[in-house]
Amino acid sequence: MTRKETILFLILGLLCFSTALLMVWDHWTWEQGKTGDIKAMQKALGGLGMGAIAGPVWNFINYDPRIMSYDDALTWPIPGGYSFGPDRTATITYFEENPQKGWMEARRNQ
Amino acid sequence: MSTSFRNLLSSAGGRVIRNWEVSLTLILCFTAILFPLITALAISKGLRCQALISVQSGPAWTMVGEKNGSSGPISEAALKALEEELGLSGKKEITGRIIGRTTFINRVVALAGLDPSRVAGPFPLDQGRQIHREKEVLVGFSLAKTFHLHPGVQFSLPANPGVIFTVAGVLKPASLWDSELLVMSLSEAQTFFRKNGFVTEAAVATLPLPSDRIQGLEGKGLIPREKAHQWLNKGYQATGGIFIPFWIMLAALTIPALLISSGLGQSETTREISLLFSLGWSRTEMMVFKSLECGIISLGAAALATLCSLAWMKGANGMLIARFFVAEVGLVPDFPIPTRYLPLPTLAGWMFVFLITWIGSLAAVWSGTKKAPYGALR
Repeated sequence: MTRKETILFLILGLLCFSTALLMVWDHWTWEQGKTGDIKAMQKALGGLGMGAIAGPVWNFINYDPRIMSYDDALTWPIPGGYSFGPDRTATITYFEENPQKGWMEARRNQ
Repeated sequence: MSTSFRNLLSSAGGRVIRNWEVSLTLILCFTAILFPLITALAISKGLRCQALISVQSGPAWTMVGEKNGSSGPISEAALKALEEELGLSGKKEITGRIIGRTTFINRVVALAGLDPSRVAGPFPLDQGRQIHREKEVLVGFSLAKTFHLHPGVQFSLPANPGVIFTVAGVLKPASLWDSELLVMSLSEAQTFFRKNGFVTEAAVATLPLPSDRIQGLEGKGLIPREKAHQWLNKGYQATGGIFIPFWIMLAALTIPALLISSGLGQSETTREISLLFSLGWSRTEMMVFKSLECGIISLGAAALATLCSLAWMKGANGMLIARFFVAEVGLVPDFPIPTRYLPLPTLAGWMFVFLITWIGSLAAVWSGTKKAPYGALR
């Protein structure tokens, strides 16, 4: 094996080793520390059904025309996603929000 | 490792170095193809892990009401009746909560109204303290950051301007659930929504009933944790909707990659193989030689794509990319995007690149062994 070939295999080995090492580190952080706060938060909230609420404007089961002009749950980002997950903002149940004063009139005027 | 294999490996390495422009182009092309796929799978796995934590941290049973054929609010009176029926009165085995939404200035935010036994926490906090008094709320860190909310600030919400809330604390950025969230007591949420006596869900810790009776209750809005777990896994596994365009993109980008692998340097490869064949190399040796070359390129591309993805997601928190996977996070996410890197996507990526390059090199080997050496040299 020439010197250049040895360097190539060393670089390749280093790439693979560092990838494997970072994956192990990622796994370790999930197992050890990262989930602690999430668990504490979920236990306090009662867990199940919180849905994804990073941006609750998107995909409530009962979409609200005051917020969106169409139900983008069906179209964004990709149709066919599952609503019972944190990347979807649906909650397992629906609790009606009181319409704001004058909303019906505004709708009628439109 | 046998000597012949070592020699073939060395020759394959030598060829990668000799044709470094083509090899580098291939590695970079495949890195670009694999990068979004590996990132998408890592985010999906991270989201699923967080969702499973949510389900596992939840109660054994969750009960919802029925409204117009869909799930709806449930009255506290119905819960009390159920408690009495099960002989659980006063044992706090069934607790109600409200998960609703409202607008905060120009943002739609989630609102959690929790039972007094839960609202005191402890919630993981970034600033302030837990809820101690009436009309106190905990706010999500994205909200706090955007609207400069800190402990002691008072505000009202457009849906019910008569109710004035005071910020008791700011939630720690632990997961995407805590981003735009308001936590308050159940009674305050009921007052706010003007739905006194109703909750959206009830958490049932234990159900001392025979299984046939429980099955009957399942039809009436009782969701066991196992079922939610099952739905969640099924949802993530079966639909995989978010990854479909990535696979399509992958396939579309593969075509130029295939052209590169089979087209660029094709004549040179054919000539090289033809000469090696005339020097006495067997077809099998040449296939092993080409496979090793493809192996080096694919290994480099898969490892580089994973490293780039890891660096981007962990270092830059998925800036610019995360919004394609998690709704409404913006170009620069202000909460940690969950990612989990497993060996399988990298291995699948490696296999994919290997197959593409290997298929591309098959043609070169075939035509090279068919060509006469004098024709190849001409």
